[in-house]
Amino acid sequence: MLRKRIEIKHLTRVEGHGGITIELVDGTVKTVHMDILEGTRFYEALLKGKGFLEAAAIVSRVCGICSASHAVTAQLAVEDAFGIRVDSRTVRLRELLLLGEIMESHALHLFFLLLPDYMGYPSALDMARDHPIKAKMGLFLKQLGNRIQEAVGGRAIHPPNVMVGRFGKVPGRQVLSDLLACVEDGLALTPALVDLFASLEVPVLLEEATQYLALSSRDGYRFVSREIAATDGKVFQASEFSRVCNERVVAHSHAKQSLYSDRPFAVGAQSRVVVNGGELTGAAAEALERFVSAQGGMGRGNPISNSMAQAVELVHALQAAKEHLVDILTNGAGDAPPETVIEPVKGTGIGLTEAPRGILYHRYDFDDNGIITEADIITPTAQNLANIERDMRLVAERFGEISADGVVLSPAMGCLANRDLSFVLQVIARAYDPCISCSVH
Amino acid sequence: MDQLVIGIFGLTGCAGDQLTILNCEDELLLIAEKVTMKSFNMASSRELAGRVEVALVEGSVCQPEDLAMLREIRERSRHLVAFGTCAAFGGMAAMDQRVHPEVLRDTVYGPDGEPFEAIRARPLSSFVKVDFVLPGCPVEKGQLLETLSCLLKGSFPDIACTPVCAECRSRENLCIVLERDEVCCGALTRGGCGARCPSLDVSCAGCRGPVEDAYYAVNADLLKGRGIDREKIRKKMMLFSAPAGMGERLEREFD
Ligand code: SF4
Ligand code: SF4
Repeated sequence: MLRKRIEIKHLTRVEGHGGITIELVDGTVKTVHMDILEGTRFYEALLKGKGFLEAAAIVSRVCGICSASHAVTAQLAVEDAFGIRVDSRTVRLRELLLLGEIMESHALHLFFLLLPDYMGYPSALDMARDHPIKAKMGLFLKQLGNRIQEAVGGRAIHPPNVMVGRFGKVPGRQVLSDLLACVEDGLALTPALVDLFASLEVPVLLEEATQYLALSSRDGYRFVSREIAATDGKVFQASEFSRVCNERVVAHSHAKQSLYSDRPFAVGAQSRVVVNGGELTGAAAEALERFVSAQGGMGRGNPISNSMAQAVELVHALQAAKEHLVDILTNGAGDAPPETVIEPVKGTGIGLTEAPRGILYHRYDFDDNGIITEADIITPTAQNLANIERDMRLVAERFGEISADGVVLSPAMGCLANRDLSFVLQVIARAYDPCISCSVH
Repeated sequence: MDQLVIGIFGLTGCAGDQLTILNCEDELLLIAEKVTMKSFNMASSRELAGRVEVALVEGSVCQPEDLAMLREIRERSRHLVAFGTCAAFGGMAAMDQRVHPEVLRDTVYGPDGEPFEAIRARPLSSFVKVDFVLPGCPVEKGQLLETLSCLLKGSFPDIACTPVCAECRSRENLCIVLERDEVCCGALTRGGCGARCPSLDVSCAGCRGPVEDAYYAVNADLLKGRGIDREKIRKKMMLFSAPAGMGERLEREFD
């Protein structure tokens, strides 16, 4: 009997502290664990007893990378509970903010965390020495995302400007036209961006039927919606989500895990493209076609395609940001924000957004004074964990060849043949772009 | 020239301060030329053990593993910097100092959870010597760059420790406490952010931690005078630096 245990103590080039443990006995995988070792801050408990005005500031600190999503989702939940409607400019500015976050986060992942794997460097800084043009493109797009978040959210990380029902200060005309000029520069880079990622030799790690979940949008490719669609054709309302994803505590990790009809499922860029790809237009739709013809369809269950979906979304984010900016500039920028008197209402509110890594759900219960009595936060990475473990198990079982020295991948693995299994497990984890701080909150 | 060797470490936090390093897009390549960044797991898969000149430590101590890691970092580093408000003052995770961490844990994980040890979240200085504090949630990019350039010259910068209020006034903002009878932590919070929030017409949440010689009595009178609910004040003041007792000190002045 050949027994092998592989332990990756510390995953690198992901956000936070996580490891992988896998145990193989002959040809079968006994256990595979994504060990989330990050300390817990107990946000759901900390929120109890705090007022609705403080919710967004508190929860944005769950995660430095997707703080804008947490802040917006929190306000959506508060507004849902109190029956507050926001004006169309606020809706657009929030979308713009989320697009900025998508740009920053995807550019960070694609250029800093992923590309070094493909180009054979330990870090993007090492890669930058030999490939300055690629590095600069990544830095430009990342910075553009941050500029948008600074201008709209008031800071690139933990945006204080996102308030209940409104923005503290609406960015002025000059700020918005400067942003528009930068977005145009970004759009000019998209052909090179698509060329770069379409030219990568993307390994097919798996082709396994996968359940994808994303917020569904019938009026364009959006990041805010109150409907969730699954690739089995079912559609759910916001109030059904916690039942649908069925989050539970697992023994080996501080992060909870989710299952859809007792099976793992995926959320994130790839899921969004699979569910809503038909809503993409222009250069983003073309980019998608290009990736599909070069590297295969997004929906066939290869987790590595998530990165290509992120590249498609980068193109989309630039296009959509331009649309929002043009609209806001035409229909009024910089006027005083609408004064709102907020009357707390006892009850429950749910906020849902598509954060860079997938569906983000916040639910708060309030008392008559707007004090939170119960809170539930379900993050994208926590939803993905079971699917990540499933993918690792399948790859190890199908392609792992155990010998006395270790486990390597069989020739069937194509460009990854003979690589160490532990390398590929990290490649799988990184493809999901996990955000460990989010998953343990 | 010998490169400056900096270690970048994350305990329990949101990685926002480490991300701020990566957000210096214009300067990043230049920094990489002059500084060797060790253990920057978020950006690099190169493992480098050994000693560092300066350790930037983000996050607070929330579990026994954090404490073990912190002690090891202290051993390995000549200078240790509390990098961000969690590290410096405890941050969000430490806001409910009066609630037992096991109660917090059971609220989130319920009876099914594998019981793991939860310790009361604390800032770094509760356990080890901290040589320099770079406050902010997250740290301000300008101050981060200033710190790096001083470190290259072998010193720490002089970081202003005047309250946010002073910066707010020099930006000629209307005072949120006076105009809207809302709680604002600006008088007790250290500046350096250029009164970021009040300049957006949003009250200061105290994210940079307490200023050293604040006028608690004057501030208590001011807030009391506007008829603001005491509980509201306490809850706002404890968000980012509860272990430093900003809320309690203010409350004492109320009586
Ligand atoms: S200080 Fe703020 S930015 Fe830094 S880790 Fe803590 S929550 Fe994140
Ligand atoms: S104004 Fe207050 S809350 Fe805002 S950035 Fe400055 S210290 Fe932080």
